[in-house]
Amino acid sequence: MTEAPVSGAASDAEPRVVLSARGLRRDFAGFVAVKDVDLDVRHAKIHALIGPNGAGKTTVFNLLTKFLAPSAGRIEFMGRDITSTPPARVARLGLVRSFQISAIFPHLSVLDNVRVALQRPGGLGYQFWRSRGSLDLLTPRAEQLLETVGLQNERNRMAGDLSYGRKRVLEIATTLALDPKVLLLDEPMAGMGHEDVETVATSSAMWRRIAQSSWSSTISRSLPISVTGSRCFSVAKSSPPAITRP
Amino acid sequence: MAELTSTGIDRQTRARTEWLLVGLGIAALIAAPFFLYPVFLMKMLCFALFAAAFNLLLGYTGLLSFGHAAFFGGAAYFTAHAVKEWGWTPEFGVLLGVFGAAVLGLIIGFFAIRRQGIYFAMITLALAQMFYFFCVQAPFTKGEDGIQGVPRGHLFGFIDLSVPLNMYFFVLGGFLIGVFAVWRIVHSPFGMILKSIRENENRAISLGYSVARYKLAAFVMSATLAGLAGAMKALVFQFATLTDVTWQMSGEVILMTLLGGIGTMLGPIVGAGLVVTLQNYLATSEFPVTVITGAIFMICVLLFRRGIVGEILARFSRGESDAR
Ligand SMILES: Nc1ncnc2c1ncn2[C@@H]1O[C@H](COP(=O)(O)OP(=O)(O)O)[C@@H](O)[C@H]1O
Ligand SMILES: [Mg+2]
Repeated sequence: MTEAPVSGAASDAEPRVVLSARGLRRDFAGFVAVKDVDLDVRHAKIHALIGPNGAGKTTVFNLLTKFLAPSAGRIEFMGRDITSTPPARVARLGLVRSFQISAIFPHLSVLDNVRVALQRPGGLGYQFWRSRGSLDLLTPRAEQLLETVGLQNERNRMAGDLSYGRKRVLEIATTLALDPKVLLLDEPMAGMGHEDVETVATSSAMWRRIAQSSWSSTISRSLPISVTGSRCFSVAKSSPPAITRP
Repeated sequence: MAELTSTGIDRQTRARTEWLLVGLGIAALIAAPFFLYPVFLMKMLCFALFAAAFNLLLGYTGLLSFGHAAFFGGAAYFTAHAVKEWGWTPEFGVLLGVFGAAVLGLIIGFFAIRRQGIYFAMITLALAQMFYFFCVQAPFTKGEDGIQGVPRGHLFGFIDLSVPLNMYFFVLGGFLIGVFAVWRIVHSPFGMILKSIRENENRAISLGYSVARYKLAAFVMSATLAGLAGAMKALVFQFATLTDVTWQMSGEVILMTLLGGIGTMLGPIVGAGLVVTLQNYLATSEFPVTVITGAIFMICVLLFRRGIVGEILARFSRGESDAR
């Protein structure tokens, strides 16, 4: 497995490290899936984690986001040791992942999928006594996110009825809803290729839009993105960076 | 745009129809005791609430508990004891039962929610069985006899609940409060998170939700409302026995819920009504009740997998079952 921290722009001084792992290791009943991984994710950079199937990319992501406990090693996020932090907590700190198998809520509408992601940041998680109408104040932001990924016309559809490519794109929208500090995308383009040619075309435009908005819209926002893929994604040497398929 | 508006109107008409049906349903329940035997109706209401509470967990959170009899039967014991031995008024007796069920729910839920799927069901079953054996042994439950001759007492000190109609409206009130609570919880911000946990637990975690807390909260709410049903049942029949804490009772509520349709508001109520009615009619015949209900259950599962109400709803609104 190779790690290729692909630089976005011609290197100025190296930006600070926001996520780092040292000596990361994971055994599955004697089988070592991930061994001695050291990695640094830097502020405002796009990194790619590449390797053939079974190399352990997904496992590394599971370790970093604490969906799996490391057998050995240490993880630091924004200067804070998260080696033994529970996964939901890690997500709340701003280290958010997507899944290789598109992770959506199939029996909720597309709009509700995004609103669920917005509920917790909006402080609307535990209110069991309030009506669902109290979630309406999240709708404008949810619609905006759907527009970013080009799903605005599907908002009332059941998420499970979307095409494969659109499910992935919906997952990206819900991930962005959390306003993550670091985004870990597990094979974001996988399966988008063959059956969804049109979605792929829109998706690289979408990526550009996401990268742009996270680059230039707000100064405070910094969005390092880590991507895994068995196919190699090249990262264009332009600012704002866009991911294109080779 | 045209499409959006038409679904908007659709939704409005549907909402209006729903409210109309709810209104008709309540009117029917108010009129019912003048035509049907009140104790039978009250039994139906108690089990309907029990099933609705259970469905909050199975249908809307995706957790299959095999130990809900502990909350139903436990509350019946607490209420019966408080009313009979301590001379509490019925409303406080019921409150104690409800509170006791909530505490039991917190304890059992605490140990169960860390496990998934079948392991969750097994742990709830195991802990509920422990509670069953506690009830067999503890002196206050009076062993095999149970707590007999529980007085219904006077509601708020002045409404005589030994009058069947008074008792009926007391139970109807409790039933409506309980079902409203389920409806409110399901259609709340919290309910949305429960549904998303049911749909995809890992995704909910990765969105930052501490799912264990949500599950535990849902578990306690479900146990509490199951307790309300059990507490009222103790007053209706004026006894509390081991029957209500057995694993068979946990199984019965699963059957009622599946029969009516999980994840629908009306399903568990219809399922409970059906099972109670069947039991009532078969009680006097020579057929073994469990065999008949079992057979009907199997037929229903084979013919309509979504349950009776679930199937009807699916036929009316394809693909929008979630809105319910
Ligand atoms: N939960 C698990 N239990 C046992 N083995 C696992 C588990 N998860 C991953 N593995 C193994 O670890 C290796 C790395 O898998 P994975 O991280 O999914 O690779 P990649 O994402 O690079 O394709 C594979 O050989 C896989 O079989
Ligand atoms: Mg993988």
